Amino acid sequence: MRLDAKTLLRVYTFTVLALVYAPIAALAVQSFSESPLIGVWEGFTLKWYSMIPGDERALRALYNSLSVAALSALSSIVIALLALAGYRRVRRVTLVDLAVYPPLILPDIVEAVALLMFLVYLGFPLGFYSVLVGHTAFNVAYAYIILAPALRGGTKLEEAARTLGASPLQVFIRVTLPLAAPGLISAFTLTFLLSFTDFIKTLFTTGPGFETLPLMIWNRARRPGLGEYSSYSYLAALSTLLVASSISIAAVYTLYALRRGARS
Amino acid sequence: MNPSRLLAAPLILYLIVFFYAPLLYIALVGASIEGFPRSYIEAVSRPEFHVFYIKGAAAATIATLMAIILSVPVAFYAAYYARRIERALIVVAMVSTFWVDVLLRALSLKLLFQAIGVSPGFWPMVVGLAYEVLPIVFIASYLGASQAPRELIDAARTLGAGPLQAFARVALPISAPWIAAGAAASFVYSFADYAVPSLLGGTTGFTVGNLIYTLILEGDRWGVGSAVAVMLTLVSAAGAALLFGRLYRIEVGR
Repeated sequence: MRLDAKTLLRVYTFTVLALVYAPIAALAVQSFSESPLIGVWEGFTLKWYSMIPGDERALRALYNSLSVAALSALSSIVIALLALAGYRRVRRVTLVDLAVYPPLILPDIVEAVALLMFLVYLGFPLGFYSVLVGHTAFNVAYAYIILAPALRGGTKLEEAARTLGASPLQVFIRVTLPLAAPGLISAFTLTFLLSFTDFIKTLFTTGPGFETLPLMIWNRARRPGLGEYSSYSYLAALSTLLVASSISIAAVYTLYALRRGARS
Repeated sequence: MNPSRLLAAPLILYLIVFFYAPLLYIALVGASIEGFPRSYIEAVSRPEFHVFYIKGAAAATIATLMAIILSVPVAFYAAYYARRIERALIVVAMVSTFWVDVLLRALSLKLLFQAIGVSPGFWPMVVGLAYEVLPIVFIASYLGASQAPRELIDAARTLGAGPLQAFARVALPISAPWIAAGAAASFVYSFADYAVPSLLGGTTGFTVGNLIYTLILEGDRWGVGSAVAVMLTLVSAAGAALLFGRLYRIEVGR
């Protein structure tokens, strides 16, 4: 029998996918285990999940993460939209275009160290606002890059609207924004997730008492114990919920992006 | 100047205050806290730091190679062989983990390792880094593989090339620059990472990220920490130049 390339590659592909999801599957299995110890299965339970609503530290961290992510996503989109509105008709590469790339490329630990030291130098208090300001610094760059294709260069539709008597503001609200809507959805999803899952920049720029979910999980994972909220199985339950929600948002978004890509 | 350009002012000001000024600050002032150019000299010449550079570079290189070996065949399968739904499924499954918190991915791997009796150290950390960068390398390879039109490969096959030959002489050269770009991004990411080493590295797994963390947040050596961060910026700028130079050449070559 001749083994063809397609079958081989297919087997390889699904092996890789199995490897990629094995740790996540292990996490999920652990979260349903009666035993608090890693790799020990003493029967199925939902008790770890039922503990989550009583974990005030986790709920506060969730609230912190959600508020930073929402505010950072919204403000970065507004800032990026303003900048793009100013350069609507410019097609050549501008200084603004060049200025947004370095934040995308630089390792976040460098950004984080630099921002921490600069904020301390300025006397800026470390906590909610310093974390928000730090997340928005990379998010404005991402928002700009995602929104630029839809907003750059006056489209024919806009010119038609103007010829038909629409004012610039009307054109922007009735033509430009609807055209940019898919870009806005992408920009919000991505900037929100980037902030929600950020670890390194938050680790460096946070102050005493302000903890996001990634920081809380890291703090507990570094010193796990048998205590109620610091056992591995409880951490696994918390993490499984977070992983499941990130993956579903990402899957819906990727499918949406693939479909849009297929249409254009 | 066109007054509407002023609308870009908030963006520019924001980036200056919270991105460019901090960088300039650590390069000029931060690294001089302990005397200029003493911090830079210490950052370069101190033997204890070399362990971080060498191990970090080795870990980043191996992790990048592992990610290439794992993701390139998958990218080619998805781009050339898979039908629509299967392709969407593979791409979604490979890309989705990118949006899971790096920390959660590292934590899940740590749990799996402990369950099977592997304790933290250099190699578990390398596997963890490969796991983190896999989606990056996959996206780059998939975009690269999609650049080589199916017809071109069919033409090679019609002209007598075997499947392997068609792959090696047509598909691979077209997508190579993209894979290289993905590899550069993956190297810079793993070299600077802190999340994976902190959970999977144990006492023998180090990257430059660990060094910076230790100097800044634990050791109170802000001068030397800044110097190391500035040098890391230069390394990643070189990586980025390679990345964009390649992609630029692809665009221009067309």
